[in-house]
Amino acid sequence: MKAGRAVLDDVVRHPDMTLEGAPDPRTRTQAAPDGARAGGARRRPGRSREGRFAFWLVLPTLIVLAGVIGYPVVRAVVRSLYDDPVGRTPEFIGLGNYAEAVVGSGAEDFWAALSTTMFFTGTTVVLELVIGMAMALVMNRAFRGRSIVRAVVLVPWAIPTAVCAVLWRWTFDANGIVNHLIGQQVLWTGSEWPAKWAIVFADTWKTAPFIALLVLAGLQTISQEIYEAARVDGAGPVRRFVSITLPLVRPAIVVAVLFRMLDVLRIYDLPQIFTHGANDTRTLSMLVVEESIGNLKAGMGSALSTLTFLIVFLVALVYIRVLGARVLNGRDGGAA
Amino acid sequence: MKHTRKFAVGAVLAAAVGMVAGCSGDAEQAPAEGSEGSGRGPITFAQGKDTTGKLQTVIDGWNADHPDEEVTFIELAEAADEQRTALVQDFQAGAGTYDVAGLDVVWTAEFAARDWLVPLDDIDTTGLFESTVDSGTYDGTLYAAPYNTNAGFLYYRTDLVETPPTTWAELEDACDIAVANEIDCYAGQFAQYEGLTVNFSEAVNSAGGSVIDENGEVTVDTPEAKAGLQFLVDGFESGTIPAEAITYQEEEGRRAFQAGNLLFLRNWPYVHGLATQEGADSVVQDTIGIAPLPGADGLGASTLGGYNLAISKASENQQTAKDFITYLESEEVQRTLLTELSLPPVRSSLYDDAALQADVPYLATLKSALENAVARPKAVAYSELSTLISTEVYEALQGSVTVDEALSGLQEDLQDVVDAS
Repeated sequence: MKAGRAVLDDVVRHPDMTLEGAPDPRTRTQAAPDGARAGGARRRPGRSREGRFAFWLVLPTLIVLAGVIGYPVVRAVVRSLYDDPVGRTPEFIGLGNYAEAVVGSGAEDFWAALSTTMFFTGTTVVLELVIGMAMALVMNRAFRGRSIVRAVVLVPWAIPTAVCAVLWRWTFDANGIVNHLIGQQVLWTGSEWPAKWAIVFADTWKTAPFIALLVLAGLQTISQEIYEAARVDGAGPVRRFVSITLPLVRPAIVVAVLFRMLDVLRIYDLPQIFTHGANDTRTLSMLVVEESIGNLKAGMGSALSTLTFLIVFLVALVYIRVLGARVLNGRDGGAA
Repeated sequence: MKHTRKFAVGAVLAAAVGMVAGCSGDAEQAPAEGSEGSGRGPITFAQGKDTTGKLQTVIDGWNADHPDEEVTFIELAEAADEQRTALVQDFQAGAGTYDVAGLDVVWTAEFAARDWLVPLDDIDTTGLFESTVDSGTYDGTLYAAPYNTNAGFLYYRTDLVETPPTTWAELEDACDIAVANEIDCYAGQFAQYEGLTVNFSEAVNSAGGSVIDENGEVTVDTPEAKAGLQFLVDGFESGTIPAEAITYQEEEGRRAFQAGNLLFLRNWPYVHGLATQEGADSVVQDTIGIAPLPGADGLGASTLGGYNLAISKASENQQTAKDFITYLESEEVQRTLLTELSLPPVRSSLYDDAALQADVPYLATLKSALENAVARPKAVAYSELSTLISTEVYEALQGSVTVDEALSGLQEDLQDVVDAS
């Protein structure tokens, strides 16, 4: 009953984490990712009075969002259709900037940045998922000093990315501690693959705890009774992990991976500080900033940021449709 | 599980939309008309972070005499890129937050061409270094008045080298001393960033060439430019320049030199102060020598650094702004800038001042470096040019392209950018 006591402990110590972990398995599986959902009204669309009241409550937020997000987005898209002259008013050039970026003189930079961004996305998300998952499993166990471990694991996530980048640049310096430990003179920021892997390493170090945190929240909603039952039925640790833990924590993983993908597709500060984009580590976001702020080409920069937006959106949509839908709908028998 | 999915889609949208909003700059708005802005009154002065904290006393000196035309100091970020971003955003919007702004010498052309700056023809520039006045001039008009200047030095170890090399050949010969002492020989700033553009321009100028000549033509495909780049490439190949120097910005090189691992270092004057003061961190504090940069035959030509002062077109009190600039360029203030803020003055007479020479040991060397200094290419699209230069040169230093390939490619790319703007 050791495990059972741990769950009780958790309820006492972290009531918020397990609040939604009601015994009904249907509620349970969506508990973690649903934390931010606002929604009494949505559940009962029939009650229109309540719905109208909700509308008025949400309206101020919508107005603010339209002002601070909607307007700039529309402006950026409109601006991307104009050229970047010096000393005269920009002229409408249709999709000229897009053509230039994708197939014109900027194509080489654009595709290189895209493939670099995709490389970072693929590698870091996989590494972070594996490591974050392992961290979450460890943190979910009952042992002495668990709260200390939880706090320690979260430290990298609490460090601002820019600070983290400077820290790792020093660590990966030609005379830094990494080279000292491995006893070789690797120029981490001086050639392509060492630079790329150093960035992957630093990003994984920083954000694996984020995945760990989300997965941990998912793990905590799994009732220990299910494990007890499985144990009684003779399921071994591997079987319990594959047949109970993984399916039940899947929604949390799906959302964690989604967040990370969205984040890393926009990665900017780490490579910017680490290499300034040298050695083929320039990402899409860096290209956007370079064009719009560095070269003062607002039109081209807007076009690139719109392209980045579309790419991010597409990747995320495919992910949700193909992978996410299966996981998210799995227990509902496909009703979406 | 409907809600989970909606939530996920919503998250995608929110994050992606936020990105577009966050990243797009808006450069459309024309700067406000400056015709009515010739008055007098309080103004602001924006420049990069003043790490000494002494600049305020200089401004206080002005404010004491001009109670109705008070100057407020706005401290921008320490990094040049961030200063530029702040200025660009203000100038683009025509907001007029910054009346007088400190401009890096390479920003003059791109800001002036966009009609963000007030012409400063009525500012008296006699007695200022010609190269500094030139750096603030665009299309024959002074847009940014010299404020402080800078040039690169060759730092060397006086305990190991008796007379500093004046040519590249002498430098390479002296590297035997480094080998004998088991340290590295020469380094500059060779990571892919603005510093590499500076070092490359320096090498080309020191070989008698230019990146862009006085007629605005790109000239990196010349024998002189090739000789300049070849010097750096050969250095990496022969080991005269250590392999790790490909990761060096200013600070990495300074640390290597202070740790006693380098015989020669190309760097800015600030290194002298730190390397002589940082006690235990600098094993070379009593053995630092400074000399002008060597060149292909005879002394080389440093790249000109420093900051100039410009007035925003959106400024309402331009007359006060001009007077304030004149004040900052006065001999008295220039002297304070050197002694209190370690900013090399633009007034050449100060370099011959015996008292100052005793105070600032590198003053005489700096003067000769400044007399030979060459400005970086003046171009409206300077950032773009600089990125192209540092990217291409970096590949040549890594040995992935030959000097000829790098420079003929660069010639074409640079010419495209120059023609387009």
